[in-house]
Amino acid sequence: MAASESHLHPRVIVVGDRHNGFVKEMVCLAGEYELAVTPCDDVYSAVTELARHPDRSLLVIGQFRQLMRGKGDFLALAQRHGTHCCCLLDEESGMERDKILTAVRLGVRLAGEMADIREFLTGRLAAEGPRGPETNEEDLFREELRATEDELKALLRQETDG
Amino acid sequence: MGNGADTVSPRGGSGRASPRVRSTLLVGDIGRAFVDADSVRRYPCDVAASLLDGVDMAARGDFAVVGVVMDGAAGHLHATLKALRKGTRAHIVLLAQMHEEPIARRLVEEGREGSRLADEYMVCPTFLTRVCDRVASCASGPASSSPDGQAQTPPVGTLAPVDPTQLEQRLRHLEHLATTDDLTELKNRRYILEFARQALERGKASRGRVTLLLFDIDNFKHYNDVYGHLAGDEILRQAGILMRRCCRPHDVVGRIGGDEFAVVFWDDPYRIDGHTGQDRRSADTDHPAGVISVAKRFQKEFGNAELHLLGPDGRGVLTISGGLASFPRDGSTIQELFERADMALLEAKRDGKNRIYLVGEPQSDIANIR
Repeated sequence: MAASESHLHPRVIVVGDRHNGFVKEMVCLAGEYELAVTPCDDVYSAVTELARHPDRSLLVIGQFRQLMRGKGDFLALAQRHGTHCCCLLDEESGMERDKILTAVRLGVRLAGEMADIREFLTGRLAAEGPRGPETNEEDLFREELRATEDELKALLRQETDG
Repeated sequence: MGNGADTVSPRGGSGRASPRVRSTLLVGDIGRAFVDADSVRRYPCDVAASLLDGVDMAARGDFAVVGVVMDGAAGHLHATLKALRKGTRAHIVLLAQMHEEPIARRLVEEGREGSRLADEYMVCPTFLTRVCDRVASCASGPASSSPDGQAQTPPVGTLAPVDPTQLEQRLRHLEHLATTDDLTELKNRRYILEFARQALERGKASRGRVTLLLFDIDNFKHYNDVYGHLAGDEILRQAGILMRRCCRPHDVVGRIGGDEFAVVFWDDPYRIDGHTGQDRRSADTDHPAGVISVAKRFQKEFGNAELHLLGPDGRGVLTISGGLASFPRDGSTIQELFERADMALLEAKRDGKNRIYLVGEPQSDIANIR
């Protein structure tokens, strides 16, 4: 089952209470992108869902507090399985500086508003296009590295010229 | 809780559980559940230190048995068990401390077959082999049965192989005998003391409350002497049944000797309805309102109990006297709570019986508490 799934579009896992407006909104949003979506009540249920699709690209979206429960164990686990996560911050998230840092270190995309989540989905879809997620991921990383190197070189050149 | 680095696998290094057939997964702090946790590497089992890792490993592996240590899982237990049910077909065993037994029993007994959150529970500390041996019985059913369903008899002169299922049943029977009062089927004194000690430890760690009610049946000797010991036994049994019915599922009722009973009330840390599990205080006293209302209900129901062995005049004659002490208000050890509840009980007797006194509040019969 899993092997044949790797070429498919990513599946979106939305974590949160199903009756919550956020979850409903995310399900609609995933629908706009024509992505399969699975709502999960909590991170434990989401972990089961991750395991059910071991070879498929998965995107997890949830509110910051929900996904960062404990010490960010869920996000760490998702990272180990190569799953991309996006957390929507709320007003209180700003108080939890350490947790935000942890999330950033784990490569989580932090979203301040819906537009950021759209951007996350668009970006992931572009990255995981027809050639499959693994190759594109590597290309993107190399591209980013090259850009950073170029920037550094330009800066160094400026300093030398100056 | 830990992360993936905390997982150990005796047969394949650490970390991810590769899909493997029919073994045991232990989830949580096994040091709190097993006497021989140090020798876990000798057993065919994997360990996930955190609940999340446990759910992950269970869903990705093929385990026959998943043992979940309840201690430390409060607030996450239901979500974890639901996820385990969704992600694996394994036999789920709850590893409960003694004070968690009522909750474990409820999780195992509630719901329909197949939709229960757990399949069985074991009271800790226990031995690793008890959980690991469940693999054999879960995989093959009763080991002593032949294919045609007939029990196999070992040839004369050979030792019968140990059937894990039968062994488990015998152990459970022994546990039952060691902790149960055979007349009333309530918990016995030994169990109540240990349960109260553990509940108190948890209360201290989580700022929860523990309340002890000691009560006895007024004029019990009179009923015994006049109506005979059979009637006396029936009164004790009825008292136990009624008290059990009046209590919340997680409270524990025991007979601690003669006609004396003890009830341990405590805050349920595993509630899933959004409450903290803490009972609100009564308007008139610091004692928990829920406990007072349980005690009042019991007094009323016991008074109305119909006991055929006492004849036509047997209805409405039975009364109890009791004393009620709460942690942290009235004491911080089990001994202190027992002593103070006992003193309140004696005071209730001296003042004319048929009343339950609150510790530290003289003349404070719960009948006067709103």
